[in-house]
Amino acid sequence: MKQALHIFAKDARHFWPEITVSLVITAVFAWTYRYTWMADMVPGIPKLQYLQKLAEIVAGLVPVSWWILITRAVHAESLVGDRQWWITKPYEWPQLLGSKLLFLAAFVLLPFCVAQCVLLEVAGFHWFEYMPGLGFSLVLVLGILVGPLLALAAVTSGFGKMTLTLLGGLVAVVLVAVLGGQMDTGGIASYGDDAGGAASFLLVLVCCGAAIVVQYSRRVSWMSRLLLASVFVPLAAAILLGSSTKLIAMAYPLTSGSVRVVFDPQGGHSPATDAGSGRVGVSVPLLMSGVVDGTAVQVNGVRATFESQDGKTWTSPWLPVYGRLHLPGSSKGGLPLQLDRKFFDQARSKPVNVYVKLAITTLKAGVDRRIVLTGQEFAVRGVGICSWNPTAQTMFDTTEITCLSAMGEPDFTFVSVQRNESSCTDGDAKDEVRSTGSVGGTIGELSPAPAEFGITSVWSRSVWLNDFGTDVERGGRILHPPPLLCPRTPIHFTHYTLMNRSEVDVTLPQFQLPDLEAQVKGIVVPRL
Amino acid sequence: MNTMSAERTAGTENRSADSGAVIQTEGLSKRFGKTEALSGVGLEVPAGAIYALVGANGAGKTTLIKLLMNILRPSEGRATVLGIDAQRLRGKGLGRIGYVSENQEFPEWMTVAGMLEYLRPFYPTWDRGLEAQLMRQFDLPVGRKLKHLSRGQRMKAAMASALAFRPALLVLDEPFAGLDPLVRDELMEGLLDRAPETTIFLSSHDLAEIESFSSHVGFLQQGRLLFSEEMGVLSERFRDVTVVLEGSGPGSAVLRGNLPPSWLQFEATESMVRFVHSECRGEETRAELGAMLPGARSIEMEPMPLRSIFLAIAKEKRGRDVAGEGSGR
Repeated sequence: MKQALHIFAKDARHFWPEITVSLVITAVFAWTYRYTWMADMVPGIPKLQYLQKLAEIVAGLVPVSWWILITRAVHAESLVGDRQWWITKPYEWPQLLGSKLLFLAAFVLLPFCVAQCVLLEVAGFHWFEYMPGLGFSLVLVLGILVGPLLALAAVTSGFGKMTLTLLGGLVAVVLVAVLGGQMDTGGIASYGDDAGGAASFLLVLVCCGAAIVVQYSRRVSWMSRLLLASVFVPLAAAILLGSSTKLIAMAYPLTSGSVRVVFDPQGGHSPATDAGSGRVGVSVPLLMSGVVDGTAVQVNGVRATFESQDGKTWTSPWLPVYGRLHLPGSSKGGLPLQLDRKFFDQARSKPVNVYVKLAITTLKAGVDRRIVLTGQEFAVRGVGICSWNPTAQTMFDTTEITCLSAMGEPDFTFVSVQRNESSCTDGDAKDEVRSTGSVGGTIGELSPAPAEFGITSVWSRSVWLNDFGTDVERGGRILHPPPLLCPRTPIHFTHYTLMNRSEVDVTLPQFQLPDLEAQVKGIVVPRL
Repeated sequence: MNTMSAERTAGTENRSADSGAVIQTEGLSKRFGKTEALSGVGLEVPAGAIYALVGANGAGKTTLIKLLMNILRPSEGRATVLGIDAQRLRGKGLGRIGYVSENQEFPEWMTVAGMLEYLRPFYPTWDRGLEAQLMRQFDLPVGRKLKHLSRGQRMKAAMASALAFRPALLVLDEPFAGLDPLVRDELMEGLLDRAPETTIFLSSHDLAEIESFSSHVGFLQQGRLLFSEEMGVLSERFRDVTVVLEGSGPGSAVLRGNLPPSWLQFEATESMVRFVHSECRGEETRAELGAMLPGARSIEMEPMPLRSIFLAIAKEKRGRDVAGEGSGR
C-alpha cells in the first residue's frame, strides 16, 4: 500500500493541470446540469434554453476529461514496449495497479459521486436515501466507461494509439449495432428480458478486468489485447442474439388471452408513406377489446405478412411500436406497419390479406395515487418530483407534466387526468366542448434498475396529456375541450407491474392498401 | 508450471547459487518472427566481476540484456539473475539490480532531485550519503528537469540513481556510447568505485573502452556467443606469433594442409610464418612450435590488444562461414 500511495502521490503531482481541469468541468457540470431539467419544466425561456445547451456541452466534456485523465495516468507507467524506465525498477504490479485505481477513485469516481449527490440535492432529493443507487451507478460507470478506458490505456503505448483504438472500437460497436438492425428484429429486442443485458455487462466487466490484470501482472500485450477484443463477443451476441426472432417468440408466447384485436372499419384511412430503406409505411385501424379490469395492455411490437392476390407474400421484420396504454374497455387507433416498396407497388391494385402478429405486454394496476394540484411542484412516491407548467398549457396548448426521478427511470406509471374531475370548467365555457373519460400517458420502466447508466443522477421525464382530435365544429365555431389542469385538479399516478407478455394474431382479409403520398406533413395519427 | 519444469528451474537456480554466478544463462535464444536475434547463449558471470559483453551493432547485446532483465521473454533456454529465474524477475527482485541503458525513456518531467526522491522509497538499501556523494562526483544540476539535461548528464543521473542503493548487480547497456571522454571517465570512475561490492555486467561495442577495467569478457557475433572468459586468461591465451625460418630449412611447406585449428589468420612465406595462436601456453607452446618448424631461427610470441584478438576471431569465423557456404554449394 505504501508503494501504491507513493506512485499515486507522484501522479497527483505530475497531472495536477489535468486533474484541475477535470475537477472544474465536473464542478461546472454539477452546477449547471439543473438547467437541463429546468428548461424542460419551464419551456419557452430563451435564457434557460441557452443554459441548457451549455449544461449539455459541459456534461459531454465530463467523460472526455476522464478519458484524458485515465489515459495520462496509465501511460505514466506505460505497459506496452520495452524501453520504459519504470519496468526495470522494483515496482510491485499490484501496487502499481492499486495506485492507478486509487487515482481513478480520487479524481474520477469520487468527484463523479459528489456531483451526483449535489444534483440530487439540487433537484430536491436527499442523497443519503439513494446510497444503493449511487453505488450501482458507480458500478455502471466503472464497467461501461471507466473500466474499458482503463483497459484500452493499459494495452496501448500512447495517447494517439489509444484514441485510434477507441475510435476503432466505437466503429466496431456501431457496425455490430447496424448489423443487428438489419436483422429480422428492429428494436423490439429492448422489450425483451434484461438478463441478456446484465450478462453482457458482466462479461464486458470480466473481459476488461482480465485484460487489465494480465497486462499489469505480465505485460503480455498481445494476450491482453486479445482479452479486450473479446469484449465484442458478448456485445455482438447481445445485439445479434437479442434481436433474434426466436427469442422474441420465446419472450412473447402465443396464448389464448382475453385481449381481442380486430380491424376497425370505421377507423378512417391514412395514406401510405415512404418509410425509407425501400419500405412503405401503412397505418391499419384496429380496435382492441377484452382488457380485464385492473389491468392494462401495451403493444410493444408488430410483424406483418402481406399476401397478394397472386399468392406472393412478404413478411416484415419485428418493428417496435411506441404505443399508448390500453385500459379496460375498447380502444382504437392506427397500427403502423411496413412493407417492401416493390411488393407494395405490385400488390396495391388489389386487396391483400394481412396476417399481423402483435407483441403485447399485459400490466397489472397497482397503487393509484391521486395528487391534487396545489402548487407547481409536487412529490409522487415511486416517481419523483413532478411539476406542471400552466404557462406552457396556455402558450402551447399542451399539457405537460415533467417528473424528476433519482438515479434513473421511475417505476412504470400511468399519469392521467379524469375529465369529470377537472376543475378547469368554471370559466367561460362558450368555446369549450364537454369531454369525458381520461387523458393520460406513461412514464418509467417496468423493472427499473437501482440506477441507470449516465453521468447524471437526476433524470427528467415528461408526459404529455393531450387529447388531439376532440375539437368539435359547431355552428361555424371550433369548440375545444377545456384545459386539463388547473389548481385543485387531481392527477392520478397509477403504478403498473408486469403480468405477462404474449403474442396476439390478427388477420385482415381483403385489406386495400392505401395510395402512397410522396410527402405527408402535419398528420397526426393516433397510435394503437 | 508443472513439477518437472519447476524442478528444472529450481535446479538451475541452485546451480547458479552453488557456482557463485550472479548471472547464468543456458541455451538462451530469442527470435523476432523469422529473425534469430540470439541463439543458444550460455554464459556465467561470477560475483564481483566486471563482465563486458562486446560485439558489433546488431550482434544481440541489447536483446541479451533485455532477456536478463525480464524486459523480453526468451524463445528458448533460461537465465538466472542473482539466483532468480529471469522470467520471474520483477518487483523486489529488481531492488538489488541497477539498470542503465542508452535507450531508456526517462520521466522527462522530473528534476534530477525529484527522480532520486521518487526512487528512494523503492529501495530499502538506498544510501543518502552515497547519493549526495554521487551528485557531487557527477556534478549534476539537481533542480533541472531530465528533459533539459545533456545526454552525458542524463546518463550520469541514471547512473547515480542506479548506484545510490548499492546494487548487488549493475547492468549497463552501452552506457558510454556517444559520450565525450571527460564524461566517460567520470562515469567509469563512479563505476569502479562501486566495483568491489557490485557485480557489473555491461555491453559495449568499444573494445578499447572496456579493456582497461573489465575482468571478464564475452563476445557476441550475430546472436552467437563466440567465447566468454576472464580477461587475463584471454590475454594469455592469444598471442601474435611470428616465426623466422632458416633459408635452407624445410620452411613452412611442412605445415601445408596440416594447420592446427588454434592457429588463426595463418600467413606464410619461404622465410617467415605468422599467425594468431588462440591456445597459447607459454614456453610449452614455444617448444611445440620449435618441434613443428625445425628450421625456425626465432619464435616471437607477442601479447595482443583486445581489439586484435576480436578481429582475429571475427575474421576467422567469417572465413569459415564463407568456406562452409562454398562447400555447401
